Amino acid sequence: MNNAATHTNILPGEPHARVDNSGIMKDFARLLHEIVPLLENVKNSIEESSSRIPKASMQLSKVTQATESAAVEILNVLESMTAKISSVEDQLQKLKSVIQNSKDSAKKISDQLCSTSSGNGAFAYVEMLTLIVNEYVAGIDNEHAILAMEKLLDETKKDSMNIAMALQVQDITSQQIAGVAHIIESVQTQLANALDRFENGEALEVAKENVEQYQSAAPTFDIDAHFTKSVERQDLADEIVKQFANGK
Amino acid sequence: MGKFLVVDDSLTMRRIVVNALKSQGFDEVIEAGDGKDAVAKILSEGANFVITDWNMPEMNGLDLARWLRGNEQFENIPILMITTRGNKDDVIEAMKARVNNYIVKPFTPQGLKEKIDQIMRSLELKSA
Repeated sequence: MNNAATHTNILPGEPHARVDNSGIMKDFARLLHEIVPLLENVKNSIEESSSRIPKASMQLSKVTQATESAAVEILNVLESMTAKISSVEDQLQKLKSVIQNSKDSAKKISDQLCSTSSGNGAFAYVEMLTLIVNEYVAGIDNEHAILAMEKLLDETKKDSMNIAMALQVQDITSQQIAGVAHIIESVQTQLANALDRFENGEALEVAKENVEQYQSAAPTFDIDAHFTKSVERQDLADEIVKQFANGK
Repeated sequence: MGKFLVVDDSLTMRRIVVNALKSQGFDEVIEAGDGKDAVAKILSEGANFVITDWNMPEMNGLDLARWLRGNEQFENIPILMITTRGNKDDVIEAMKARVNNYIVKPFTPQGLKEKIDQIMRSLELKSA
């Protein structure tokens, strides 16, 4: 190939000069010969990646559904637990009331015995009966045990409420997942755009359909959502609310 | 206090908020899955207090607040927003839509009670 000789023919002022491009064409053909399989590989890779994206989005959606189902199941159990705790609390209240009534009755009996016994010489007998009544009262008086049970039940209720509150993580992470799925769908559109350079536009249509289908089915989301016990963001919100309340 | 309307597209969150309300003695609670559903519930069943999420399909919490404030019949219903959006601009936007108070998720039952009490106190002060 004599490129130098060829190029000397392409000079301004020589419009009719014969241009010998055969060397360039040969180089170009060789280059194409090498590039085409490479491009074919790129195209196949893009196609493969692109075809996997809807599946990835679907999987993410299934993760969200599964965590929501699990969260709902946990909430069902917690609600059932809370109902049972309330029922036990009611029973304890009834028990307390029964004990109080028994104590009141015992006191009445004791008072009655004392007033009946005065002056009739049956003091020892009355004293013994009073002792029996007091022992009975002491036997049924489980005030401390009942208080301890009430405290335990109250703590259990608080624990179950804390578990329920921790389940907010499901909503927060599902928003993050929805955000990631949205990014993946955007990548699919970009890949489909790239693929369209090779083909006739079908890929882009499929990608658009997938994105539209996903967007119509998916809830809106906050990709910045995060689960934290830090009060920093709430403090900021409180400050702004306060400023608005003060008319600033 | 009357009837609470809890609006959130997440079933989990709705259940959590409803449970938190009931644990504090607020027993009359209805639910809606988004703003549009909330509007339908308000029109058909009424509500005295709205607790709403921001990010929802169909009609978001901000648009629900704007709809309530633009409607003479419902403009005074207290609105508490509970959302993951905790940026300064978000809170300002919500306050401009005239929500009464704002909670950033995750919330606590105490935090919820505190905000409800704050709203009720400020409304009592206004009406006094």
